[in-house]
Amino acid sequence: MKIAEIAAGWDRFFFSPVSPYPVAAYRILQGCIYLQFALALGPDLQVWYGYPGIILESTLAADGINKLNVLSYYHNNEWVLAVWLMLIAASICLTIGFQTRIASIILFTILVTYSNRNAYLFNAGDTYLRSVAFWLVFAPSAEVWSVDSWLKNRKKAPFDPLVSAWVWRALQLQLCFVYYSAFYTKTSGWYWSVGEAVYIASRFESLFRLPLPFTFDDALLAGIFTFGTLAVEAALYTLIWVKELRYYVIALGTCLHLTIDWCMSIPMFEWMMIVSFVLFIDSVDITNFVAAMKCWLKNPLKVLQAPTKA
Amino acid sequence: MEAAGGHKLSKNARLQETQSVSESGFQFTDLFFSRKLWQRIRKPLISAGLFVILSTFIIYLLLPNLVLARLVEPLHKFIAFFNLAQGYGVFAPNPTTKNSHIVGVVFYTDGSSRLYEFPRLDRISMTNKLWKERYRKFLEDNIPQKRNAHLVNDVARFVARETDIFPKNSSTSNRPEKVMLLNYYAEAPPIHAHKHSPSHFNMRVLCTYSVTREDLQ
Repeated sequence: MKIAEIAAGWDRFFFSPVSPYPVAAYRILQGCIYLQFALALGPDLQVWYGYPGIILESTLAADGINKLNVLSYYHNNEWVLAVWLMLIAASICLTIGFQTRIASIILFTILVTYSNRNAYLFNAGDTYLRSVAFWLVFAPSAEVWSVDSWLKNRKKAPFDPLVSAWVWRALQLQLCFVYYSAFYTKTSGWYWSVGEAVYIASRFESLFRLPLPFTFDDALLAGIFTFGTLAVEAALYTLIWVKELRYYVIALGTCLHLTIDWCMSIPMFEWMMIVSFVLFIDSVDITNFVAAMKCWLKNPLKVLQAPTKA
Repeated sequence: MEAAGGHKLSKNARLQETQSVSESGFQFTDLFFSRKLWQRIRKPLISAGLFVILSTFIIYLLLPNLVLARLVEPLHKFIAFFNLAQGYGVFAPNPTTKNSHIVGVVFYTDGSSRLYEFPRLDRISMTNKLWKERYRKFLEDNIPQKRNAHLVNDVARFVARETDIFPKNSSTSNRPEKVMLLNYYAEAPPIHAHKHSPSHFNMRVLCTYSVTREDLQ
């Protein structure tokens, strides 16, 4: 392999002109997740981020590392509330695609602030939300399906723009990082190696949501689900890149996350992973799906009617 | 292998349409570069940025590793500032085998005491779990960990403030004097035992904190 070939491959992968629909669909879906994230923080906002709050700012500042924290600009609870309201507004703006770039910068800043002010209430899903917000700052996500694009193009003839692929690729890679890490960190765990991890996780009372038609007390079943989880997670950062297998892998990943969501209460996490799969769906399939939905919404009963003979 | 997405268009059509997008309206990069300069440096600049950020993220995923840690040391301040450290160990390396909860016991100056209970996720409705999940992460996953021992006194102070039933500047002397944080827990039974999960019968004291007047302000 020559350096020129590597450079050409890099160029093709990151800088090909591509359809903006996958990133736009992702922006809308992920925007809803951000909104849910913000609303879920609301009831206990002052506990986690108020002054003085459950963890004092001085305790966290003891490490001496400089961190982005806009909450520290004004030490009062009104400012904490104002920042939270800005987060809600930014999430809504991102979802509808209004002043999208500014909204994504505000969103990222506040998410980083929250994690720097008190990271002890956040899980891996929140790390993913933050990382995605970082990439969305640079994303051409408002080129279609947004108020911004409507305002920009309302007097022009309709056309499908193309955008540079690099942020979309970065978002795809970010999703793969999650599954790589989830898979790799599990491989050193005892319960994962003996096939009992799913049984142990099912015994975690605080996360319990709804029962499945079977229990994981059976070692064989627990083993199948434990190794099945590992296999699906491995496929979600490897086989998902193979075009012929992509939709099967996405279907398996969706089943995995829906099963976890059914029996475990980890708000947002499963749904933020499911909506991320849209990044791997072909733009033509996305636009076809949206067109079909529009048709269905215009006449929901049409699909129930028997086709008439001409 | 083929990348997802992308319409099949002629090269000319692609160029025309990309150009029409790039030339229309205000762009964020206009704040920093002229359009002409940006077109020239765009690819090398973005490529360099992508290479550095993606490599750093990958290295963070491979930590702990002494050599790799040295490699990303120059970027550590940037990563810490924006809290972009990567790590997605969900139920890893092992799912926790402990079911636990934390309670606070508050002793008042007159000798009376009161139990302070945080929301317990195993005892609340599914709807409430949506709002209270953060308590589980904070109190069950993080606070009992030895590496987070420096946070325990802050939680005790919080309990003292929450249970201080008198107005802030009240002259009454019956205020919280001491707070004990107790961590109750039980291990999940082994798979072959076929038993229900036991009550949280084990207990350890996380801290005994003497409350000061400043803590209640």
